[in-house]
Amino acid sequence: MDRIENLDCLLNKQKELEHTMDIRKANHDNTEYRELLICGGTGCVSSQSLKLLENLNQEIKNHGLENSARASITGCFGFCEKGPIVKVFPEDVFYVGAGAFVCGEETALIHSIEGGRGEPTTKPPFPAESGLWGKPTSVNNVETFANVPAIIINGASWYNKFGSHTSKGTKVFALAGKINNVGLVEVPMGITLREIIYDIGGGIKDGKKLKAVQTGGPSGGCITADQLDVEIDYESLYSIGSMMGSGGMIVIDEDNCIVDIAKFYLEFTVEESCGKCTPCRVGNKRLYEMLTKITEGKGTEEDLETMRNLAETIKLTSLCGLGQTAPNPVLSTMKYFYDEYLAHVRDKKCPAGVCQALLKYHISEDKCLAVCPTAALAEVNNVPTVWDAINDEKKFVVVQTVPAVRVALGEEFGMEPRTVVTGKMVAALRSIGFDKVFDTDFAADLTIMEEASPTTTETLKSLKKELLESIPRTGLRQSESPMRIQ
Amino acid sequence: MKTRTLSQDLYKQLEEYIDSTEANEAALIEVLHEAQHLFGYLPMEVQLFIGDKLNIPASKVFGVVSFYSYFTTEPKGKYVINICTGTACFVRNANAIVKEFENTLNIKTGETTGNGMYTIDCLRCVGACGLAPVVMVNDDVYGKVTVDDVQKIIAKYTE
Repeated sequence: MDRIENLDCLLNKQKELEHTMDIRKANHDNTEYRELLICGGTGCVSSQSLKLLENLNQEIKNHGLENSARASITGCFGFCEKGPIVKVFPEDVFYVGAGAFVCGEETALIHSIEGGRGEPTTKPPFPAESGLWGKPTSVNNVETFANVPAIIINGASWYNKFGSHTSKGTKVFALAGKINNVGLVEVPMGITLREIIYDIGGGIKDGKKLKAVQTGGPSGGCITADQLDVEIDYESLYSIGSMMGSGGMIVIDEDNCIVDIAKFYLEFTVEESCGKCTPCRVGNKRLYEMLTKITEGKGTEEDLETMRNLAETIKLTSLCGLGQTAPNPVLSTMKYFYDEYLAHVRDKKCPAGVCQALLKYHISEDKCLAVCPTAALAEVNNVPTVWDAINDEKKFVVVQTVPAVRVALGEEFGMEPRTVVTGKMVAALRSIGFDKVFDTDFAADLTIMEEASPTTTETLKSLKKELLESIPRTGLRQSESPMRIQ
Repeated sequence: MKTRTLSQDLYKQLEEYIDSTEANEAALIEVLHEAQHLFGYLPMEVQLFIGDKLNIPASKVFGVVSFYSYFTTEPKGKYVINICTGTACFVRNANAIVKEFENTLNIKTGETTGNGMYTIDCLRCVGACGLAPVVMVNDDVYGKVTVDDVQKIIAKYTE
């Protein structure tokens, strides 16, 4: 290939590449079209590849195949000793997988294309040396390949203008979860999480509080609300215990339980572990079981320590990237949300209210009684208990009356409506045998006064002091007629 | 060897497909895709047939079938309800949707109703995170599904 020495060279290269792209476009419409790529590297040129090119073009012409094939020269294919090399493009080969997360690992992907189980193998040899069918293979993400034409056309310095000091260019994130604007966003490396979430993402859904952002999918970790201003690139994410990974960015709010999230990721990696190496196959399963135990309220503080040790071991000893990164969700959530783990194991509480086994229900009798449609709950008759108390010589029995009774009671005995019978009521209660009668009016009045004006608080304080001093030691001052404070 | 109980016509179609490929080990996954497309699932007799045609051991065929989540050895319902439980759907409460489908159809995830109409399955990410939580019934996609929508979705596929 020509060396690129100046701008003109580069522009010529661009034209050549545009032509290659046109071949693809043409091929899209015409499945019969073939491009014969002849290696123009030094090794092949020395074995007469240029002559071959000439002859091939002549043959194409002789057979009248100009519309369905053409031969052109390319760069080195890397098989110099076997030159001259000719490659027919495209070969029209399209491989399909059948759904396995581990096939994102390059050696597993290669095995899948070869028709087998997508299990990874140890590296070296790296696919670049021995990959598909034992041949050198370049495995990259689509996003990486998609960047290549732009870099070649616009130049490396153009690409370097974007990004942070260490990570260049842009990155596509899949923004999802509890956020207002979901979708794919392409941002320059080095942007802060705050800009992504609040400027682009439009903030947290329903105005809730941000708890964490999970990046990198099941292999990644969590970024906390405190780290919103960290500039996002490969290195910074790695240093805070997460990773770029798939580019997934899941926003988690206060309603999500962090232990439950970690468990969710582990469940996935346990399902997707290919089972070849023990740390990943067994270790992750044990981690998942411990997390389940914690969400069921059966975890202990020792479990947390065991989990941390186990997670570190799996990370260090697994064969491929899946196992090496599977404990990341556990480690990073334990690092930043240890309190929440402790709440589960020590206090047996799930702060987010997600873990069913840790939810405690309380029945408010009054509220139940008021709404029960089937009268499942009934008021309990405590009259015998009261009689027992009155008859007990040693007990000092006080009866408390609600304000409305002083009127309602009169009506019960056939008096005119609205007749106030406070005196009669107190006399009757005393006759029954109660030692004192406490009127709720007393406390109700105080509350109303205080609510009416904060300045009365001071008055009340002095009043309280006065009252306490005047009350005999037997208990609160009781009144036979209600005490009114005006 | 076990006798073949499934349609001979389908076997013939599968055989034709296999002959159109290079008919070796490398073609296994694509052949399995075609077989599942034809039969709806991959029972033992189909796996044996494929092993025989591609000249590879049945154990190898089974190894591949059991490895990939797409392949199934059990017949599925006419309508396969796939509830996405990928992360984005999970944090938007996909589990409640799964429970509602299970309760409504009275089967567990992975099971098929007695009348062979519905199968409930969970899958990880259909790539429509913006619509989370997502439910797919065969090739139809339903986004932003709420628990109340479950009945309506099932009603669409009631015959």
